[in-house]
Amino acid sequence: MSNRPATALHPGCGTRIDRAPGGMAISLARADTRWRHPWYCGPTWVEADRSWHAVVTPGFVNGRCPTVRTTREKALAAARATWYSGLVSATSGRRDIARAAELAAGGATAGETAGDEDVDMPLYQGPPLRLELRSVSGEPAPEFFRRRGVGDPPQIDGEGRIDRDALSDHQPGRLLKASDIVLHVPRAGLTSTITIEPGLATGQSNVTQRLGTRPPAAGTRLHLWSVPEFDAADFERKIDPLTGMFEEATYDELHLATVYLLSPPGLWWGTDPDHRWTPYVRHRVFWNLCWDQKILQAQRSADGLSMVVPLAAGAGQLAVNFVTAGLNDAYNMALNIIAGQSMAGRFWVATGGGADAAFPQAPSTPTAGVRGLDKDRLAEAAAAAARQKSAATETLDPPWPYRAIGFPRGLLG
Amino acid sequence: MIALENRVMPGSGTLLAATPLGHTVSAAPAGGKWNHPFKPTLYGAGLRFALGLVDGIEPTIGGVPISGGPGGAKQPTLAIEAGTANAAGESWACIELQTDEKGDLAEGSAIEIVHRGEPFVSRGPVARHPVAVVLWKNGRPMRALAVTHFNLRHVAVRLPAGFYQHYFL
Repeated sequence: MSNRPATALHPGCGTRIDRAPGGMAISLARADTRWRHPWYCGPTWVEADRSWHAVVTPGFVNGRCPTVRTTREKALAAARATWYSGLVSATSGRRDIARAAELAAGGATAGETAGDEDVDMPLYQGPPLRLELRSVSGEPAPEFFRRRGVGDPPQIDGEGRIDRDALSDHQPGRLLKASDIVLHVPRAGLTSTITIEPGLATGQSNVTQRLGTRPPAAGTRLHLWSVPEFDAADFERKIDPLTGMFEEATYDELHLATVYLLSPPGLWWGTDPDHRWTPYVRHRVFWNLCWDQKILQAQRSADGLSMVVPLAAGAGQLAVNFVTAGLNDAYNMALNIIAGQSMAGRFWVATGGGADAAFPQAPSTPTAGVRGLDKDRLAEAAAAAARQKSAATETLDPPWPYRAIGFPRGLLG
Repeated sequence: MIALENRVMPGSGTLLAATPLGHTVSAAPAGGKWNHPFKPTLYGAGLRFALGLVDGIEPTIGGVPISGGPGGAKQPTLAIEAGTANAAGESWACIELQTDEKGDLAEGSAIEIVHRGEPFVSRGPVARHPVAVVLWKNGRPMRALAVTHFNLRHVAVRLPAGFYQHYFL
C-alpha cells in the first residue's frame, strides 16, 4: 500500500493497526467484555442537533418495550454517530451503518412521517433520546468527579442566584452537567371527592368520600424521557389537602440512569457542552422489569362505618361514610383512605429469588471492626478499606452481578 | 491509486471511512455475553431456549423439556408464525401455566413455552410471563431479545373478587 496520505490507513474507533514487514493487521483495540444490560445508556454527541443524546439498550416492562419520541432525521444522525457502539443494530443483529440507518429511519412506527416530524420509536430501533441537562457545577460534585478535577461551585445566595462578584473571581476549570433518564408508565390513578354535610349531633359532620379511578391521559404510552433532575417526591405533591386536591398521578416513573458530562479543563462557568465533553453514566436499573398495581377493591375502614360500592371493573367507585367533628379530621381520614387505597404501581425484577429479589451481599471487608495487636489483620483491613474507597471513586456503576429491585410484598395483600 | 488486490474493503462489523488524509477503519467492540436461563436463539423459523426453571420445573415445548431432557431427546424448537405478531412487528415467547382453584399448578397441566401476540396475563386461571420478544420485518423473524434472565418462581394470590392474581418473582 502506498504511503501517500490519501491512501494511508488509520486506526479508527475500536480498532488497532499493527504494521509489519509482511503487511498490516487490523484488530479490535479493546475487548469490551462488559455485558450490555437492559437500560444501558450510550451517550453520544449528535452533530446534526448540536446536542448530547443517549441511545438506550432495549429494556422491557412486562415484556413491552418503551418508546422514545424523536424525529427520523435525528434517528438517522444518531445511527451514524453511534453505529460503532453496537446499540443501533438490535433489529437486524448486524453492525452495518446503512442497515441501521435504514431501520432507524423506516421503523414500523415511523410510517410515512416526514423527517422532522415527531415519531415514537421503540428502543430496539435505537432512537436517540435528547438529554435535558442541569448544571452540577452549581452544587458540590460527587467524589468521583471531584477526583477528576471538578472544583467547588461558585457561591449561590439564599434565593438560588449566583453571586456575580464571586463568579468573576471564579477560576476556569472542569465543569459538570447531568441529566436523568426516566421510565414513564401510564396507569389508572385514584380520585377522591369529599362531601361534608351537617350531622345529627351538634358540631359533627357527615363526610362522604367517593373513591374512583381515572384513566391515564389519552395518547400517553410507555416511554423514556430525559429530565434535568428527577424528583421522586413529585407524586406526593399532587395530593394537596390545603387546596382540596386528592387525586393521584396517573403514571409511575422510575429513575433509570444519570448521564454526566465532564468538560475539558479550563472552561469558564456557564459554558455549554459540546463534543469535547466526556460522558459518564451511573445506571440505577440493570434488568428487565415487572410492574403491577393494586386494583380498587372494597375495604372496611377502622371505624366500621364504611360502606363500599364496587362498580364495574376499571370504573370502580367506593363510597366511604364517616362521622367527624372537624374539617381537619375529615381531610386526615381522607388522606389515610387514599394512602390505603393508592393505586401506585410497583416495579420489581423477576430473579427467582422469591419475595426478595436482591442478590446476596458481597462479604463485607473488615475495616472499623478490626482491633487488637494483630498487625497483619490491621494491615489487611487498611488495605481492604483503601480498595473499597478506591472502587467507589473509580467506577460509577456497581460490580456484577448488578442490583435488582426486590418484589414489593405489599402486592401480596 | 491502490492496486485492486491491495484494496481495503469493509467487512462485517467494520466501517471504512475515506478522508482527505486517508482511510479510517473502525469496528464495533462486542459486549460480553452470558448464558442465562431462558436465553433465546432464533433457529430457522423457530426459537430455542437455554435451560430455565419455573418453581424448579423445566418448561416444555410440545411436551418436550426446553433443554431436551435427560434422555438425550432433541432440543425442541418453538414454532413461530408471522401472523401472531402485532402491528408493530412484535410477538412474544411466553411461559404459560394453568392453575386450579387453589392457585396451584393444575393437575395434569404443564408449564409450557408458547408463542403469543400479547406478552402478559396476570389475572384469571392462566398465568403468562414473557421470556423473549421476537421482532419481525416483512414477515420474517429478525431478532429475538431476551426478556427473562433468571429462573422464575410463580405465586398466585386470591383476591376478594374471587379470582387469582399471578406474580412471577
